[in-house]
Amino acid sequence: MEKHMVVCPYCGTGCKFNLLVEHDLVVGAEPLNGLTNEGFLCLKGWFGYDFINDTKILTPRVLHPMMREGKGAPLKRVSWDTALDFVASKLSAIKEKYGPDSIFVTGSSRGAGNEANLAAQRFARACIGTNNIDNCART
Amino acid sequence: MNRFIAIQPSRCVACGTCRAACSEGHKRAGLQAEPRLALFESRDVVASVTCHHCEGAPCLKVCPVNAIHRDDDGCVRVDEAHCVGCRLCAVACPFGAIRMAGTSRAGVAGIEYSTPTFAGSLDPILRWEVGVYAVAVKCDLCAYDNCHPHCVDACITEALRLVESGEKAGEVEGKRVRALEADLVMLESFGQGEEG
Amino acid sequence: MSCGVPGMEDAGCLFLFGYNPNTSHPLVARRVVKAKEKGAKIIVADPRFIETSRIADMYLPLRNGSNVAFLNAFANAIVTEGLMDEEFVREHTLGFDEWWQTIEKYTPENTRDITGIDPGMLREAARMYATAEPSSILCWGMGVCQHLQNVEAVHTCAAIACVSHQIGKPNSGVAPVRGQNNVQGACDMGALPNFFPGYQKVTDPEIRQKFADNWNVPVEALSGHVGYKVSDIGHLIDDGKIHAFYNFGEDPLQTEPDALHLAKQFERLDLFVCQDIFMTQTCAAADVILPATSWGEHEGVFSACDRTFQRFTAAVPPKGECKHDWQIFAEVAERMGHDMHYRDTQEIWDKECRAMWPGAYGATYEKMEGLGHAQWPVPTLDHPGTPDLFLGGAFTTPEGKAHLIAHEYRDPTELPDERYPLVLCTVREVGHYSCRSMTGNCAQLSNLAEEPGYVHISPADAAARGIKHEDMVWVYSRRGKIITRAFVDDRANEGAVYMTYQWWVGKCNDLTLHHVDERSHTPEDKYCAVEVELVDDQVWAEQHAEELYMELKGRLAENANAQHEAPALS
Repeated sequence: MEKHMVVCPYCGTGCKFNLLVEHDLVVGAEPLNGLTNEGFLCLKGWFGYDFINDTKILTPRVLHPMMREGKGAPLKRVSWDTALDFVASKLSAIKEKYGPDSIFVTGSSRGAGNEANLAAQRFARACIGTNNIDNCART
Repeated sequence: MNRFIAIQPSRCVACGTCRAACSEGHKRAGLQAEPRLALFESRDVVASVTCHHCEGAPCLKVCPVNAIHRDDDGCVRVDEAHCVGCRLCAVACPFGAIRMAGTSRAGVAGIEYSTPTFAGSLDPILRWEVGVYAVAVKCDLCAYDNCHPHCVDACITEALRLVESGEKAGEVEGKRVRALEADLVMLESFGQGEEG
Repeated sequence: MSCGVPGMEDAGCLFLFGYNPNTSHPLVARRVVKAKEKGAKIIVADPRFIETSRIADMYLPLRNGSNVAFLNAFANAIVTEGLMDEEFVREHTLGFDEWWQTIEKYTPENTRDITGIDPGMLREAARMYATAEPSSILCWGMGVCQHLQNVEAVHTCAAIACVSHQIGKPNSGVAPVRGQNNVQGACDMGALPNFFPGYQKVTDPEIRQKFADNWNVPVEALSGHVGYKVSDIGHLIDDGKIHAFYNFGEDPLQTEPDALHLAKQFERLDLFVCQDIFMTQTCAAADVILPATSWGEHEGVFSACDRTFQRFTAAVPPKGECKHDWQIFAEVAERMGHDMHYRDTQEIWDKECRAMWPGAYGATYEKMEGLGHAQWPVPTLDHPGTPDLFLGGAFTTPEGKAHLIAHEYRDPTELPDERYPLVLCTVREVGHYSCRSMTGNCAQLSNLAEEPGYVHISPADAAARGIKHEDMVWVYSRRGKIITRAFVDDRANEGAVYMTYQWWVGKCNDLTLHHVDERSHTPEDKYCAVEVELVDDQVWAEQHAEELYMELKGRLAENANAQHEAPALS
C-alpha cells in the first residue's frame, strides 16, 4: 500500500492526511499530525476520498474532452487538439469582435490548488487582457 | 464485566464522524452499514446514543430465535445472519439503540431505484421496503476489529470513550465530588443571600 | 483571519457572529471546545440556536437580517459602558468622531425592536467581549457575508475589534473563517477582478508594469480597470456585456441563487467552456468540456482559512485523458499567441507567486515539505510565518492606522409577507460540501445524507402547517417551488426556515433571491421570503422525489456517456 500526503479538499481548516492507495485506487485516509488538525479528521476527511475513483454514485467523472457541434446539439467526444483549437479560436474571435472585457474566466476555490489559480489569472490578464477573473468566494 | 461507549455531551460538536466511522467499519466487515450510534440533538443536549449493553438486556430476553447473546466481555451482540427481523428487540430497547436495516435492491440490475411505499415520517420500526430483509443492528463494540470501537478513535473532541469496569469507580467518585462541590457553592451563595 | 486557527484555543473569549463552525469547519469547532475547557468565554449571536450555543456563556438570538443594527448597538455599548481602549483608538485608528456620529444613534435600547435582543444582555455581552483576557476573537462566516449589508457588517466587526483593542495582539482580532478549502488561496493568487496575486491592485500602473515584465507582454496589454464579479454573470449576459464564459471548477447552476433563471442566461452565451472533473449540472449546459485532474491526481499548494500555505501531493495518476488545470490554461494561451509554458507546479509557484508577491517569498516548496507550512506574510527564507496580523496595532493601510467606518442599518430586500411569511436562510450541513459533486460521489457520505435534504422549521411553524418531522413538504418563493423533507427543529427560530444548498431535488437555490450588495456583489443568500406547505400524499411525495432525482442523475449520466465513444477521425 502506498501513502500520499494531502491537504483536505473540503473546508478551509487545512487538515493534513495521507491517502492510502492500492493499484491506483484510493482506498482510505489516515490522519496526520498537521498544524490545524493535530491527528484528527472529520467525516469528510475520513471518508471523502472515493470520488476520485469515479464511483458514479451521483454523477460521472469527465475523462475526455467533449464538444457540441452547435447550440442544442448533443455533446460528443473530441480530441484535445480539436477542443483546444476550438476554444482558442472562438475566444480570439470574441475578443476581436467584442473586446477582451466580453470574456469572463473563473478561478476555482476548490481542489484545483493555488498554481492552477495563478495560471487562470495570468491566462485572463495576460492572454485575454481582462480583469474579468473571479472565484466563488461569495458562495 | 460491563463495557460501553460513554459520551461527554459538553464536548460533542455533533459532527457525526462517529457515525460515519461506525458505518464504514461495519460495512467493511461485511455487516450492515447502518450506523450503530444515533445523534440526538435537542436545544440543550446533543449526544450520540448507543447500546448500554444492559445487565438485564431486554433485547436479549425477547429475541425468539436467540440471535442476541451476551459475550464473555459483557457485550450484548446481534448475529445479523440469524436475526429474523421481527423487531421485538427494537421495541423492547429502552434507549432506542436498536435499528432495523437491510440491503436495498435499488441499483441492482433491473431495479434502478427504490420505490418508497411509506411516508418518511413513519416510525423506523414500522418501515418495510419491498424485497428488503431488514435485520436488527446495534453496537457490538466493533467485535469485528478486536473490540476496538471505531467511533471512539474517530471522535475529534475525545467526547466518546470506551468505559471499562476498571475505571468506572473513579468516574462515579468524580461525579459525587463534583455534585458535592456544586451543592457547597449553592449553599454558600444561599447563605450570603440571607446575610445580605 | 487576523489570527491562526490553533491560537483560537488560547483566546479569552470567542465571539461567534453568524458562524457555525460545527457544520462548516468541525476541526475549528474542536478548537472552540478546547478554548472553553481552557476557560474562554463563548458568545454566540445567531438567529438559530446553533450547536455552539449549547456551550456558550451567552447566546444572543438576534432576528434574521438585523446584523448591522445589532453590531452598531454592540459597538455603542462598548463605548457607553466605558469599555473602549482610548489610547489604542487614538494611536492606531482614524475617523472615530465620524464613526461615533452614526454609532451613537444605535443604542441597545432603541435597536431592540429590530434585533429582538434584551439591552441588558447586549451590554453584558459587550462587556464580556471587550474585557476578556488575554484576548478576544470575533469570528464570522457567511451569516455576515451573505446579507444585503455584508460589507457594512464587516466594517463594524472590524471597528468593534479596534475600539475595544481586541486586535493587534496575539490570538485576537477578526476571524472571517473561509468556507471552501482554497477560497483563501484563489483570492491570494489573484483570482479576483481587482487584484493580482498577493492583493496587488490592478489599478496601480507600477504593479501592472511588474506583472507585464514577468509575463513578457507590453504593459498596455494588461487591463487597468477592475473586472466584473462572477455573481453578476447572469445580468452581464443579459446586458450583452459578456459573450464568453470560461468556467473553471465551479458549479454555478447549483451554488448560485435563482439558478433556474441563470440556466436560461447561460444559453445566450456565444461560448460556454467548462473545465471540471465531474459532469455537473453546469457542465451539462456547456459548449465545450475540458476534463481536468482531480484533487488526488495533482499536486500543489492550498491556502487554509488562516493564511497557512500547505503542500499536497498526487496520490494516483490522472484518469482518462485528464490534464492538469494549469496545463490546459497554458495550452489554450499558447494557441492564442501567449507563451505561458510551465514544467511543473513548483515552477509556477516560484515564478508567479513567490517572485511576484513579497509577502510569500519565504514560502518555498522545501519549507512546506511533509507537514511543513508557511503562514503569510512570510517575506524571507528564514521567516517563521505570521500567525497574528497587525501586532502592536500596526495596520496595513497607507497611514498604518485602522479606519473606523460605520453604516446606517437597512432592512433586507425581500421581507416576508402574507403569501411568503417565512424567511429562508441557506446554511451548511457537516456531511456534504459545496455543490456535492465530490462528497455526493463518496459512498459513505452519500449513505449518511441523501436527497432530498431537509428544510429545518421551528416546531410552532411546523404545527401551524400540520407538518410532522420527516414529512415531505413544498417550499416555494417568487422564483421557484421545490419538494423536500421537513426537519422539525427546536433550534430553528420561529418565522425562519433553514436549508442547505447542495441538494438537487430540495434545491434551495431555485428559491433564493438574486440580489447582490453594491460593494462586494455577494448574493443575499441568507434572506428571502418563502412559504412551506405539507404535501397531501406523502407516499406519492416520496416516490416523486426519488423519480426527480433519478431523472436528474440519468440526464447527467447520459451527457457523460458520449465521452466513451471515440472521436470520429477528422
